[in-house]
Amino acid sequence: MTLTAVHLGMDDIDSPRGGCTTHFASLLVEELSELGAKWLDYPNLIRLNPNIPYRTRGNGAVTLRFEIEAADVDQVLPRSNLLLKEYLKEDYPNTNPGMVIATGDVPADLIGFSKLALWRTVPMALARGLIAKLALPYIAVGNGRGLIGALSAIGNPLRQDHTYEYIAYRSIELTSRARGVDAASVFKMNQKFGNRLFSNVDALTQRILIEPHGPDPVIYGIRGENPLDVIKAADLIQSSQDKERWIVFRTNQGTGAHLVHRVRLSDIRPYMAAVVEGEVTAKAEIIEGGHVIFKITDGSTDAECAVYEPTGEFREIAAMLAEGDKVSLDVGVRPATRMHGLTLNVEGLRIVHLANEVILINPTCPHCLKRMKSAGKEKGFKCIKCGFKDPQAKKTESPIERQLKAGRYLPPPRAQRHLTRPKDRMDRRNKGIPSSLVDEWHAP
Amino acid sequence: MLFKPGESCEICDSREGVLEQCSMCGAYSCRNCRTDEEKICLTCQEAMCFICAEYLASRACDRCGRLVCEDHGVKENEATVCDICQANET
Repeated sequence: MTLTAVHLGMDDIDSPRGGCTTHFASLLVEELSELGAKWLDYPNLIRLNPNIPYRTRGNGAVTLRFEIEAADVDQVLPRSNLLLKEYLKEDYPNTNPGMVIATGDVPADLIGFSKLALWRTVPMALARGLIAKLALPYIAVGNGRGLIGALSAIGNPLRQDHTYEYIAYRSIELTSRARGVDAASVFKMNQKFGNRLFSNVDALTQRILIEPHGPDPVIYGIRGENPLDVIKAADLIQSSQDKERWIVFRTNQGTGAHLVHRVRLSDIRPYMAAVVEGEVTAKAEIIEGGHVIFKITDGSTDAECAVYEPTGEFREIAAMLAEGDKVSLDVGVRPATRMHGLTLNVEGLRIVHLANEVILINPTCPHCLKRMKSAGKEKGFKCIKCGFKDPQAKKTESPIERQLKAGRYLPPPRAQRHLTRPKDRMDRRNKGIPSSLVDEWHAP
Repeated sequence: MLFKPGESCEICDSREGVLEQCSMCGAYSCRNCRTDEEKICLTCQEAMCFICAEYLASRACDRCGRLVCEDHGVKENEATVCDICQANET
C-alpha cells in the first residue's frame, strides 16, 4: 500500500446568510475518513489579512492534511465537489468558493503566497497563475476568489506559533434560532482552565465571546493552547441548542502572525497589515461617533490614525496621546475615499516614549512668593500684594503629570481580531507540527 | 522585519525587468503585474470600485457581490448594498 500526503485547501464556503467554511470542513473530515484518510494534522484554520474588504466575517480558510492510498487520490476532489454542491447556498452572489489539492511536500511557492496573504492583498490572477504553474487540481465557483484562501491555507503548515479552537455546530436547519449558550457555564470554564484558554470572555463587560451572532451553524468556539484542554473545556459549556457535530482546529489565531512587517509611512499600501513607528504630531481628537483620530509622522510622511468607538477603553488610551509622544502602532490600512485620505486603523499600540507635557504659568513674586499678574501686553508682570513690577518677567513652563504610561496597549478581547495576540499570550509560543493527534478530535 | 519596497515585484516577487510604482497604491510591480498605460497593478485592478473605478473598494455588495467604494455602497442593517442594486430596487 503506497500512501500519498494530500493537502486539501478550501475557502469562501460561507456567506452572511449562513454556512461556514469550518463547518463544511468538518463534514469533509467525516467523508474523507470513510475514504480511508489517515490524518497528518488537525484541520488547519488559517486566518488571513483581516483588512481585506471583501471577506466574509473573519477571513478564515481551512486545509485538511492527510495520507491516502495513492490510487484514491483522484477521488478526493470529485467527492469534495459533490459535497460542496450539496452544501452551497447558490442564491447568494457573494460566495465564491475555492478548493485546491496539493500532494507531497507543501510547494515553496505556496509558502511564499501564504505569507503574502497574511498581510497584503493578493490578486486572483496571481492565484490562478500559481495553480497553472504547479498544475494543482482545483474547484472554483463564482469568481473563484476562494482559491486565494485555499492556496494560502495549504501554504501555511503552522510550523511556528499556533493555538487550537474547538468548534461545536448545530444542525443547519436550526441556524435561525437562538443558540442559548449559558454565560455562567462559560465563566466557570474560563476560571477552571485559566491561561490554558484565551479570548473566551471579556472581563470588563462580562460578555462571553465564544458565541457568534450570525445565522451560521457554529454554536460556540473555544480557544486554547492545546487540543485536550479545549475538548475538556467544551464539556462544561451548556447551550439550549444541541451539538450536532464538533471538531478541533489547529490555527494561527491569537498569534499576531499578520503583524510582522515594519513599514515606513511613505511605503504604506491600501489594506496592508503593518507595524508603523512615529511621533504624534497633533493631540488626539474625538470625532462624531466617539472615534479617536490623531496624526503621526516618521519623517518620510505623515498619516492619519483612527481608533474606533467599539474598542472602548483602548480608545480612551489613544485619546490621551499628545504631541511628541513616540509610538509603535499595529495598523490595518483603509484606502482613501472621496471623503477622507488613507487612514491607519489602529489595532494595537505601544507607547515608546511619552513627551513632557507642560502648561505655561505666571511667574512668582521674588519678595512675597505670590503668583504675579500680567501688567499688560508686553509690559511684564506685577505683584498685586506688594506692588513689585518686573517688565522682563515671562511665563514659566510647569510639567504636567501624564496619565498615560509607556508600554503596550490592546483593545479589549471583545474588539480584537482573530489574529491579534492577546495579552494572555504575549510571552507564550507553541512550536511545531504535532507528532500525533489526540484519539478523538472530531465527532462524528 | 522591515518592508523594503522596490527590491522585487510586490505581487509576484519577480526581480526581472523594470519595476514601476502603481499609480493608485504605490506598490512596485513588474511588467506582468501591471497595465502598460495607466500603470495600475493587478491588485488595484481587481480591488477597484466597480461603479466609479476611481477609488479602491472598501466593501462588497451583499446582493450582487460587486466591489464598491464607500461612496457607491451604503450599509443597510449591517449589509452593504451598492448603488446599482439600490437603483434596481427603486
